[in-house]
Amino acid sequence: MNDPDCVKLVGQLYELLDGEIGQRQVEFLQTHLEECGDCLMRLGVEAHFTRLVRERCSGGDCPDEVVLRIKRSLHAEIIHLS
Amino acid sequence: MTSAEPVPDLKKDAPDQRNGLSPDDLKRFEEEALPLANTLYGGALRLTRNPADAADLVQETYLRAFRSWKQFQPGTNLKAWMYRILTNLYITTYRARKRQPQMVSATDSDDFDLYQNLVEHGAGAAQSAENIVLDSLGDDDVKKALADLPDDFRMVVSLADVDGFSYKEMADILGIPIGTVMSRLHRGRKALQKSLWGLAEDRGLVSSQGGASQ
Repeated sequence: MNDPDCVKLVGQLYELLDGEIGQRQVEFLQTHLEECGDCLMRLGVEAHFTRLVRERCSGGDCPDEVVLRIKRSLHAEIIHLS
Repeated sequence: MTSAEPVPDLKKDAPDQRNGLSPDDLKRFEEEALPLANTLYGGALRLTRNPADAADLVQETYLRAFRSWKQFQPGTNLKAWMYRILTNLYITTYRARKRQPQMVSATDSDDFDLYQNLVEHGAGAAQSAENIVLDSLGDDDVKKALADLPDDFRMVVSLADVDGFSYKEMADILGIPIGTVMSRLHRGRKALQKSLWGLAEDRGLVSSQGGASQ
C-alpha cells in the first residue's frame, strides 16, 4: 500500500463508508476504487463489518412491562401537576 | 415554605401547572415518543449492559423528555433528542456510579487492520468480502465484544453502526466535537475488530500462525 492514493483512501475510509465526505472527495475516491481492486475489497470488508455489527447487536425490544411503567410515570406527571 | 423546589412559573390560565403540560401534551408526546421505546431500550441495553438498568434508564429518559417537551422543536429529530437525554442521564448517573474506566489511551488495537489479516489468512481474497470469517461468530459473541469495549468507544460504535446516527448527530448527542466522534469511532471499530478476530483465533476459525483454517 505504497500508492499515495491508497494511503489517502485508507485515511478517509470510514468517512467514505459513513457517507460523511464531500462530493469532490467522493469522486476522487471512486475513481481510485475503479482502478484499485485492493482498496475496493478493503472498503467491502469494512462495509461488511459495520453491517455485521448492526445485524448482530440491534434488537432488544422494550418489554411491555417497561412500556407500562413509562406510561404510568408519565400520567402521574399530569396528575401531579394539575 | 422551605421547599427546595424552584418557584413555580404560574400561568393565569393554568394556575396549578408548574410547567404547563396538559393532558393533550401527554397524548401528543405519547404518540410521537412511545414508538421509539424499542429503539431507546436497545440503546440503553447496549449502554448499561443490564436489562434492569436499561429499563430504569429508559423510564427516566421518558420522564425527563416529557418534562422538557415544550423545549422540543417540532420537525427536528425526536430520536436524536431522546438519545441525547438518555446518553446524558447515563453519563451523569449510571456511569458515574459504576466508576468504569471510560477512555483508554492509545492501544495496540488502533492500528488493527482487518482486511490485511483476512488477506494474510487467505480468508479475504479467497472468500468474498460478503463472506468474511467473522460471520461464523454468533450474535452473542458480537454483542459481548461490543459490551466489553471501553465506554466511550462503545457509545459511538453503537450510535453509528447500530442506530445509524450521523457524525453531527452523535456530536450533538454526546456533546463532543465531530473530530472526537470520528477518532472514537475509528478506534472503537478497530478495537471491536481486533477483539472479534482474537475470538475467531481462539475458536480455531483462523489459524494464529497464518493460513486459513477450514
